[in-house]
Amino acid sequence: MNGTRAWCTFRLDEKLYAVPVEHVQEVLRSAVVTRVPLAPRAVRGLINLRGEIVTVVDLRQPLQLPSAKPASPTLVVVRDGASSLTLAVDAIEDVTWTREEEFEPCPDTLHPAAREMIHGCYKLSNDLLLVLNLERALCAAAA
Amino acid sequence: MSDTDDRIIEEFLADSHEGLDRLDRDLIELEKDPQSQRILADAFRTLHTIKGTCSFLGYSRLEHVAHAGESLMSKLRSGARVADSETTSALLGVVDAVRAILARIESTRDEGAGDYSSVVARVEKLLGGAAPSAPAPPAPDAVAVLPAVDADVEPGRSAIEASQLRVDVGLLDRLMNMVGELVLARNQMVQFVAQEQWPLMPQAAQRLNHVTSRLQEEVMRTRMQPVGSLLARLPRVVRDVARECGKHVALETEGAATELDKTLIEAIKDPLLHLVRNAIDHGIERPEVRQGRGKPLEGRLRIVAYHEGGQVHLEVSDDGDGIPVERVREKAIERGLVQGEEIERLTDREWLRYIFVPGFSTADKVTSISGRGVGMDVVRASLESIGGTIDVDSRKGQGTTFRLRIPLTLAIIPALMVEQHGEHFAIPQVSLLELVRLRRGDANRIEMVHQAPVLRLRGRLLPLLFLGEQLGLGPGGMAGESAQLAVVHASGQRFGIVVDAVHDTEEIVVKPLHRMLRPTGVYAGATILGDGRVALILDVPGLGRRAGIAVHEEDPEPAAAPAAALEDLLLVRVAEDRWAAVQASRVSRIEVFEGRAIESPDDQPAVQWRGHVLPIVPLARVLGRPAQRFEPGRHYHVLVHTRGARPLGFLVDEVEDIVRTSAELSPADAHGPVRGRAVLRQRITDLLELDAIAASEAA
Repeated sequence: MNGTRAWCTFRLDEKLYAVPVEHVQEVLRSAVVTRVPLAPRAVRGLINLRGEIVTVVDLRQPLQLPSAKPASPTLVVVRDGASSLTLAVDAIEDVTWTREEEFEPCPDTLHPAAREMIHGCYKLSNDLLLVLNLERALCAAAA
Repeated sequence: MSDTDDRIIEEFLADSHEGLDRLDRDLIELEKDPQSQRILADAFRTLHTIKGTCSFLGYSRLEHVAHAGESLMSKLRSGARVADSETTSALLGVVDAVRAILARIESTRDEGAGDYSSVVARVEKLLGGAAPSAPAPPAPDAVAVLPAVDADVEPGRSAIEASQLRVDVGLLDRLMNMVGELVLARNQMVQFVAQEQWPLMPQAAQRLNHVTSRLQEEVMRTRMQPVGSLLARLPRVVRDVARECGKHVALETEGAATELDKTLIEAIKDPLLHLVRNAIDHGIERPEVRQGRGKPLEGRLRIVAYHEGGQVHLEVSDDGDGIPVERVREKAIERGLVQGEEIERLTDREWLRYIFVPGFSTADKVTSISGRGVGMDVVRASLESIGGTIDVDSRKGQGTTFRLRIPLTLAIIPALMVEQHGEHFAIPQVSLLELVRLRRGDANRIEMVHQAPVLRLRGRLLPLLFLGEQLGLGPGGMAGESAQLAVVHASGQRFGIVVDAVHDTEEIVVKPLHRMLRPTGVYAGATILGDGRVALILDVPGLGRRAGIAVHEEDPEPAAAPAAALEDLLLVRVAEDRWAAVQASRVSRIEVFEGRAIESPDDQPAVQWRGHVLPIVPLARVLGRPAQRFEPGRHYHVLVHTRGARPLGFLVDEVEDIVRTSAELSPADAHGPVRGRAVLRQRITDLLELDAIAASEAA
């Protein structure tokens, strides 16, 4: 199907974000997260994913969202090249399809720092889907 | 390009690199033994094969270069020419050129447009000219000019080489068998769980444990490669560097069969080369100088590899001039690294350690080979990054020896599990020296020197760091009734890490951390514990640096410290993975009894011994391990204790050795039969007080 893309969507602080569905390995409802003292603030810790140790990243800080962390976030496991990473999100939403031509640049209402990490957006019937630039977001998280 | 084509090229590259390595060695051998038919035939064959294959693959430039080498080789083989050093140099030039082209092919699948005409011309000159009758004296060569190659394509080792491995087929067969056993053990457990046959589980778990350990060992063995593969490259390097420096050097290597994990071999490649270059450039003197000192004209460079104490030892020694300690002293003082009264106190050996400080170089001139001052600290850092250490010993006018110690494998290491603020961390055992238990009262033994906490341990000052404080988990100082002090060493430094509690030693699988976490500098990786939780592995040198542990002088072997009473300890293995030590003075005899001799009326095992009935007390049981049955035909080691009300025999799995040590412990350390714990022979060992155990058995 040309011109349509499938997105895995999730909520962070009521806003709806998207990553390409092919980058998402799985979604975990809960897991024991081991803290990493001295790690960058955006790193929530580590989890044991079937014998692999995966880092859990909370994008609230790089995205300039208020950092009220929910007690047990949903974890979205993303493949970042050869390694896996996990995003801690408030809730997972449905897989959404969009048409290429509906792609729009970021709205001005977004915080300038956050805009760096968003490719653009799609207007859905009752929501705004923000396409996450994962690479940039992770760079910001590591800082 | 199709997959098959790609695979053919990859195989060609791998085979060719092997061939070139052999060729390097052969050519150098040829210089010493120019008439050897075997070497001539082997070398010719290698070049011939490379030429043939690259012609088939259409690499005409490579073919041209290889062909030139092959023609010269052919002349040597037929006897029309004698291999002299000029010929060898020309052929080595061909080898380097071929490597450069192969590197190009590896990254771009194209042989590139490099200009190798100078290499070929050099060979053709020799082909055209008359054969020399006598070997010409080795003139200091201008280093063979390599054709201009793109900066990003380095003429050198292939990446393919680094990522492939030769494995013994027998080993693979054993692995297959073990996997089979693992499957059976797994099936058994799955069945027991499905049928809820819980009483049968411990036995199944033990079987699984056993098979997994064996499988782990064998898989680790597949990664072990002989160090010889690294040592084999050295003759060529030594030859080239020696010529460049105008020196004569004979290389001796020993222990080529010593095995090491493949990734570790890759990691020590550069440090080793640097040490070799250094030894030739700075250590070994020019022939005239050596003659003047009554030394043989040829300098000796000796490299020895061997296993000891769970590590691989690599010694690089030369019989050159030694490292000028006075200059090191000068530089260190000049740079403010040592001040005041310390200057008087340091021994020569301690001064030498300063060569590992970044940017340190006592060489007056920076040659193209070394002396740039970037060397030694990088060598040490490389070794430390794989969990190894380096030390140096040098005598003026006699020579220098570098001692490298490298762990056997990186992937699975023994580590001590510690707890701090409820979180679990692992301290690699290779860094661990001893454990000391601190009680509340000990808090005032901690002194402050230059605002840093230190503890006086057996008369010497030990810098301290509080793990909780360093990790930002809480304030420094001892919080509860007791704490544990792990005395560690890193970068030649001894210091102590104070933690809330210490648990068992375990063998843990090291998993790397995401690069995002590397900048923290205090973690060497992470591991998964038995219960599935994740625990971070501490990077001991990194932790020390973060805490600002200063470079104090420390001897690896405590020299003349005010000796606490030395005592002889008998080291024994008490259970499959538990070690203990008892005072040798408490053991009157070590007896070995055959299974049938041990009777167990009323469940109390005993044996007839010298007219007495000697009760057998398994030390394993004292440490909380399950009792065992005595089987006929097996032999059991018993430590006979006769100091109590009646003789007792303490059962152990194995008696290892006697060590003389001054493991210091306060009486308050004792809890139950365990007098304390120490690290002996690199293992956590429980110190048992046999008199106390005997007394409680009698009760």
